[in-house]
Amino acid sequence: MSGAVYQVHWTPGSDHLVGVCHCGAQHVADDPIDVWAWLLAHPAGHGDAAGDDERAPREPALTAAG
Amino acid sequence: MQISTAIAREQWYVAAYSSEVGEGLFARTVCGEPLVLYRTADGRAVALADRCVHRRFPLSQSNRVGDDIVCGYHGFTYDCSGACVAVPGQTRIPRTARVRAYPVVEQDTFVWVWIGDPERARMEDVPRAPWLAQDGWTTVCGMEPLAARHSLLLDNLMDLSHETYLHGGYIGTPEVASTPINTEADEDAGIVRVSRHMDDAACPPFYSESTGLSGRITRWQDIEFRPPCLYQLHSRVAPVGVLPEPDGTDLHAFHVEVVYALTPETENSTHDFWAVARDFALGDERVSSFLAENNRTVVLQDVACLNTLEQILQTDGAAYQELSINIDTGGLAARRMMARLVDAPAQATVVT
Repeated sequence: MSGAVYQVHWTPGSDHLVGVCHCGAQHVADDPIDVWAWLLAHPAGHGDAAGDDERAPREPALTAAG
Repeated sequence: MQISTAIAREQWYVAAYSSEVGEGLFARTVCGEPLVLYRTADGRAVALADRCVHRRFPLSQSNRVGDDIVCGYHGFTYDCSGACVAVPGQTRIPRTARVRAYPVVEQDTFVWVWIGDPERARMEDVPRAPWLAQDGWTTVCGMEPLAARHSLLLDNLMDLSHETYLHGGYIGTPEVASTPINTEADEDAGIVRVSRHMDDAACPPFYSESTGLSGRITRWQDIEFRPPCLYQLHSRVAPVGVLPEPDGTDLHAFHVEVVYALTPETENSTHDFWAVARDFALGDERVSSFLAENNRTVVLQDVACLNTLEQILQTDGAAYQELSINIDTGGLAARRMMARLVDAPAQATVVT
């Protein structure tokens, strides 16, 4: 895939992160694990237009580390 | 994704400042590989494996004769290409008598070395930090040894909200941690960008003392990380409301380029190269001394924090979980790009 630029905007005044895929689709999340997982899953879950797949906010994700 | 100790190979890393490499034999370990660096009579920087092939004696503790190194133990002699040109007591030089020579690029005050297959080294891939040696800028710099893994330093630098808490009184103010960020992962260029633009912020001593600004400021922090080694923070400060002109000129702001080179020494230690270049108070020794002292203090605050974290990670092992929130968006993007370099060396532009 060429020209892939993923963007994540933290909406001022909120806790929301808006992920913008290189295909134009957008996704609102409340933690960065979620937003990166969605972006990198392209095209899965991206639909055919921007603004799809807006899910309910979740608690911040716990991830294993070591 | 984890706080990894893995080292990305088939990559360029900063091994030294140009000023560190001269006539003497200079030792530095990069990515677990001991190097000896020196400068030939015609001024070219050379990096060789710092181990004699005979009995592993360090060439950095040996003797230089012209552009050759004569091993200080038994006299094996190597030229600047790494070839053995003399051995003691016999005329036949074993075919395998050669030490590894590392591709070197000297650029922007840094000596970069290629850690990997020399055939894959592309000089044009060495990233630039032109401010460090450019007219119109004055630079102070240093290097601090860090007893912590590369990924801990990267995590630290990609999320500057820690300035508020770890570096209060130097570069941190409340607005840093409270201002949302925008993050961009440019897969083709292999760059992670994180921007934090504060419209109305307190001016920390680092900037008030160096610029003379006394009131509230507009403060922009624009990070660019080029994995695995080069981190640049484009910092802009100006009185509140003073913005660049529509044509891009920005004569009424102060610009500081904060450059880090993150070079693994081993899996659990890192060379923390830092430099601060400014486009104001050029040549002013008082300002240079102030910025050098203050930035070194800030770096040492990070070093103390990260050394502690490294010990905790080694003690706790894998039996812990970490929590990531919005401020970590850029750090997670950087970790992912680093993981990809580790998994697929020298293919920074491959997109999953």
